[in-house]
Amino acid sequence: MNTNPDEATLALWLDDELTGKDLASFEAWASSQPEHMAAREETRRWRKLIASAIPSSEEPPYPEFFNSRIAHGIREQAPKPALIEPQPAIWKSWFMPMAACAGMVLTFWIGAKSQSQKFPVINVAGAPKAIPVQQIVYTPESGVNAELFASAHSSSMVIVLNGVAAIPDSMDFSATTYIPQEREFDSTAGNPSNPAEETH
Amino acid sequence: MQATRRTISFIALLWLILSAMAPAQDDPGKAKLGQVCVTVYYATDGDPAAAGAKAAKVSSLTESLLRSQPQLDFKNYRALGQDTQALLRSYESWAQPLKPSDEILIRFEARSLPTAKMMQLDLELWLSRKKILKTDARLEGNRPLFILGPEWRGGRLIVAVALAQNEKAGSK
Repeated sequence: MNTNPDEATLALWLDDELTGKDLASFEAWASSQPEHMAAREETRRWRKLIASAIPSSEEPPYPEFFNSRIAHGIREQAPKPALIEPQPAIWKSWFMPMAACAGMVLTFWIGAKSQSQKFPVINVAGAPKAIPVQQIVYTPESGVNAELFASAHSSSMVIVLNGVAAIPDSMDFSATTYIPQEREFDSTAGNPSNPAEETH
Repeated sequence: MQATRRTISFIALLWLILSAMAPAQDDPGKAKLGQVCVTVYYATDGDPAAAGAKAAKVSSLTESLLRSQPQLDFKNYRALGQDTQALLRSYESWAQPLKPSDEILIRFEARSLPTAKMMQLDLELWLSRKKILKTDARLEGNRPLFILGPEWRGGRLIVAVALAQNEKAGSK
């Protein structure tokens, strides 16, 4: 049978804080333990010594500071639980790009649709004809005048410039590469059906 | 963290691709209403070879059309250069028929919505970088505008402005 007291009871006995039956039974056991008796005497002696040095009415300096430092030290020495990064959901890896893609495509589609609604294609076939007015010919350069020769029945309109400075004969246009468009002379000649008659 | 980076990269790439595919967001003012062709002829009663070896003969139809106008009646004609530019809805265009020379330039812009066969333009003739003539031309498909211009090498230069009929009016 184990008759040894536990550590907590031993600590209370050393501090003279056991009372009643516990104290009586412990005293009975400790009387046969000279080393424990000596330890209690030593504890009592130190307690008296400390009590004589520090009056009981005086509080220890900065108790909150010391307590917080002690608590901090305990926290630092305590093993820290490993931080586990939450694994991103698998569906997020494809859903977010797909959602962004769909959003942008939708935005562009709406923009293109509103653009086309705002600026419809011009249907010139049904457009009202411009009101015919007197044609204006203006020559801002002094000494230059222009005459307009046009009638509703003529095949072309002609503006004759008078007083315009001659281009120097030294001016050379041979660097111009003359590549007539297929139907240019049609417009000029008034016969859009026969571009092949152009000769070079 | 890596999944977030992948997502951001994917969105950036998609944005670039969609930006490149955004012609629908173009400026509607750049819509083509048609095309205008500008040709410069050399007309002379003398030797047409003065225009240079590269000057091209003109067709008999063009020649007869030019001769039908008393103001443009010369013995010989040669084509010196030509330029075709789009007529835009909101912006001006410049034709440079004697490229690379800018001795003759035609600036034009739409004056009103064109009809199927006629376009009304604000048109300017620039010679030697000076504005010489400003007019409001009504161009029809078979009715060009001729401008009898400056003298050069014993003849006169004629600037012809016409609709280019290979472009459907109103197309973008």
